[in-house]
Amino acid sequence: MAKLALVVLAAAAGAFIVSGCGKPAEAKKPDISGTWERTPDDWFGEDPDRPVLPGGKPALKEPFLSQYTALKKKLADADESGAPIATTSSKCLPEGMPTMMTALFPIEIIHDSKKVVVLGEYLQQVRRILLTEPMPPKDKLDPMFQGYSRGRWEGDTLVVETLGIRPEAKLYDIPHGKDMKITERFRLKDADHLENQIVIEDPEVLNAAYRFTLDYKRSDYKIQEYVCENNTLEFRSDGKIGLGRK
Amino acid sequence: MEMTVINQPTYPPCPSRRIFLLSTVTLAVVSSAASAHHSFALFNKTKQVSIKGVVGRFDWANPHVTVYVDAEGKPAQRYKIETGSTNALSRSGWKSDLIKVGDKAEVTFNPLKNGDPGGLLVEIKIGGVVLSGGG
Repeated sequence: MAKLALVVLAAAAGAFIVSGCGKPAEAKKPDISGTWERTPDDWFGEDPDRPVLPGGKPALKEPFLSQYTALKKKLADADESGAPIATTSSKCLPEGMPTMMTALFPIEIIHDSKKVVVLGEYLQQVRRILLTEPMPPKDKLDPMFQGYSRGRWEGDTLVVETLGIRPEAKLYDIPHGKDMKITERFRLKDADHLENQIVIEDPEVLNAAYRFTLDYKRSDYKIQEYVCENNTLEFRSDGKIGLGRK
Repeated sequence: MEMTVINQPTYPPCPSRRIFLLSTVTLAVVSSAASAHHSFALFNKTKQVSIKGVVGRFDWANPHVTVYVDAEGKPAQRYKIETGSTNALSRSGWKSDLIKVGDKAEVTFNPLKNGDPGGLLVEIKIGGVVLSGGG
């Protein structure tokens, strides 16, 4: 009995040390703030017009697979002719989710106890991940380029779910449905390396979840402004672009 | 000639970006061109064209820094030569005042596939300064 009392006392003392003034102490969250760039350096592949699909070919359902295949052929034919098809990027529209997180240009992460903000240098994109508010109901999710992101810390991992992404915000032309859900798991591999494990679930469009991991390295680069003020491309009525003469 | 190589932080998808300083007057930025903004299929990357002329306009702005060169000849022809973003170029060593209207320039570029006068900058020489396109 005396031994048991000692154990209880010791446990109580331990609890006091951990909890301080009676309030449970929060585990210290990893510091993922800072500027990040993708790694390895050749992540994009050799051809700037044909980025490597990070999770391989997606398991698209019909008719999305046929539509995607036809689109890729149309894009390739247009490229061959020297008059590429206009894209959201060529119109200076944001990449949106999840493409922003592929970080073709560097990204910066800022966070406190209530939110995580991701700033993309390219097109000055801003993404807010709220940590203390629930996801709005589906009928309140008017589509946005970055969608609606809600996050929580699970130990050393920041888990983020994103819904409500605009249809034109596609990852490398892969189509998606209105109920696409992106789940990200951010974890520091060490002080200077961050990984983002991404799972895309989209039962309307995908036969199986699309999974890939984005790796980032910490950078001392100071992100600059990017104002798309001088877009002199010629946008043609057939949906193609030219360099223009302006 | 003395050559100093300064390694720059890498910037996907331009992992080979470096600055070469050849003595004190020649600056060349070696970089593979890449951009999120529009397809490079506008340009014939298998060909290079070189012209001499005068800088008629220089836009240090995004999405693409652009040099307009009025080429010698009759009639004079204006070429629109595009390169990378201000972000990538400044990171590679470019500055907004390196090219000025009125500068005499020798320009090498990948020509437009449609035959219009213009293309994607490979290299521009102004006086003793050599700048390579990229980013």
